[in-house]
Amino acid sequence: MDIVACVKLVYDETQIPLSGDQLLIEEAPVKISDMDKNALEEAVRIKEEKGGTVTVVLVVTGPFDETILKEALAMGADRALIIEGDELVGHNPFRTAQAIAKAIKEKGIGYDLILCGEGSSDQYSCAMPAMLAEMLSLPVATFVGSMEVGEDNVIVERYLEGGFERLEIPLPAIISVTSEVNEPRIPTVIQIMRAGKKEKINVSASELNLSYPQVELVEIKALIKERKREKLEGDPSEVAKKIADILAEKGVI
Amino acid sequence: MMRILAISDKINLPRLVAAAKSLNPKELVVITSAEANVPADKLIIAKLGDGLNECWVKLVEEQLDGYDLTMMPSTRNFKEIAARIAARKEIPYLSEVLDVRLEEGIVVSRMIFSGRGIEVLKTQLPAILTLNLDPYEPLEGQPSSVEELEFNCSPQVKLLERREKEAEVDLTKAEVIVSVGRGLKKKEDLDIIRELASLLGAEVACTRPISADFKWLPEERHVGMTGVRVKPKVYLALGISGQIQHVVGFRDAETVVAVNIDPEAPISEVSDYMIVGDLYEVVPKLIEEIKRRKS
Ligand SMILES: Cc1cc2nc3c(=O)[nH]c(=O)nc-3n(C[C@H](O)[C@H](O)[C@H](O)COP(=O)(O)OP(=O)(O)OC[C@H]3O[C@@H](n4cnc5c(N)ncnc54)[C@H](O)[C@@H]3O)c2cc1C
Repeated sequence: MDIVACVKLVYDETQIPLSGDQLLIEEAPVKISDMDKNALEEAVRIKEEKGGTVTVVLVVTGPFDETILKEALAMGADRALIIEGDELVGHNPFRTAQAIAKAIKEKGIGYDLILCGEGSSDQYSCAMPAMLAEMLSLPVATFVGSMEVGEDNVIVERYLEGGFERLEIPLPAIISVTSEVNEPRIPTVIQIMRAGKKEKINVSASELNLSYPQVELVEIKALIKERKREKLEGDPSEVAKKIADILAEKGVI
Repeated sequence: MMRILAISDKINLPRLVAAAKSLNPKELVVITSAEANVPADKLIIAKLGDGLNECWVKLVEEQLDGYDLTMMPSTRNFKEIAARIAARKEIPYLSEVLDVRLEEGIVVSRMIFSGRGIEVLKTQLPAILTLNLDPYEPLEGQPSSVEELEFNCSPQVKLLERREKEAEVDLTKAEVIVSVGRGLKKKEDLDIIRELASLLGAEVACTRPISADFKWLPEERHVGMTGVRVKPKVYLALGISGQIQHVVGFRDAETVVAVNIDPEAPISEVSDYMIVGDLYEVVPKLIEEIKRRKS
């Protein structure tokens, strides 16, 4: 089974420093977008069970860090397809999906299954997998929390707000996974070092003739909620009294 | 003057219509799957068989032409449907929109980085949006006309089963929440948490590891980015470190009180009062104190 896992590199949102109401985004370290890790893990597990290949497809829409790419490869992928170019930078899931669709066709990357995270840790549009499915004319299931791959189909369970939906989908197909689907492995340092030797295919966006609806970024602001941030220390019965005072003040007791 | 197409399930429709009406459209047409009492110029009730996303996509694709804006609720299903239609029609799609303004095209704001920031985006019409409807009050009224639409669709995917979650609780309506994290050592210790909650007339909530990994509490009690967003008067965070994915879920709480053994825990930065202490010592004392005050 040949599997493509779409992976986005993002600034780690938990480590973005603040300056007034500005987020110093570019000072944060780079990571693999959280749920893309689950997608890649699932791809590797399926390969381990059924044989085949895993290709990591990475569109550089923001930061790029060679070590983080190696980390993705070290999780068990066979090769990476990296799509780069100035015009790819920023929020535009349509453009990202089109770049992937065109690049895998152009480079003759075969697939029975394409796996993506439900949404990225930075933008969380959750649009790219569904758009990619349309561009490749494939069936799609989004927000999949558990899945089982058969010979020529896959049974998935979609995790929705009000419940669950079990679907049978013919292969080839696209699936976006939620973080419940698995626990991603953490590659060892040696695996990461070795991953540097794996095949990398580079594609420049300018080769792909992309055309897409434009979305313009006006601004980004930090979302700050002011809190009192008082620290209370002391003997448990003392602090318990203080909590009770706060609760009484709020009319709770 | 705008023509708006609003597409929704039954629950979200009255608030979606409120959002659409706030833009003063010349015409508002609604497509939904069951009868509804909303003030639209036309209400189309679509008969879609199993109601699979694939069929919604085909139906909306046929109906969409001529509208300036197509709006849907930001549910997981509609986020898929909207994205697929936008790809077919090659028009802009913006998701999880918090706020929309008309201004040579549209300007929207949406949350990014797990709620650490807001981005403002601008694009042209026609466009598709999925909206976060929390800020809107449901709008009811008579539709000017109602139409039924029989839609035949032979989907590629097959529906095997649908199961509803038994909604035990709606945390979004809770006035007081006692929330626990991995500072809790074992499931049995939930007893003291429950005791405290019942004394306060509070609901019990948790971080994701408690529900997703340990399964000590049901999923609908987990607060955060992938869980519920709550807005109680008081949020009591016990043994919770304060990772951003959790914090975004209680951003709208009036007062946040945390108990954490580690004075450096990030929760101290996002709470009003941070009690440095062992929850196993503080909670029993707090229960005693509340009982004393109540009697
Ligand atoms: C994509 C993604 C989405 C996520 N979505 C969510 C989400 O929606 N909601 C969510 O909650 N998490 C979410 N998470 C997980 C999140 O990142 C954190 O891992 C999680 O919130 C941590 O839970 P915790 O605070 O209970 O545990 P920990 O981080 O382990 O914190 C436990 C805390 O308890 C304190 N403690 C220990 N013993 C005691 C004691 N005796 N008394 C008092 N304090 C004590 C410790 O000092 C520590 O601060 C998500 C993660 C990812 C990757």
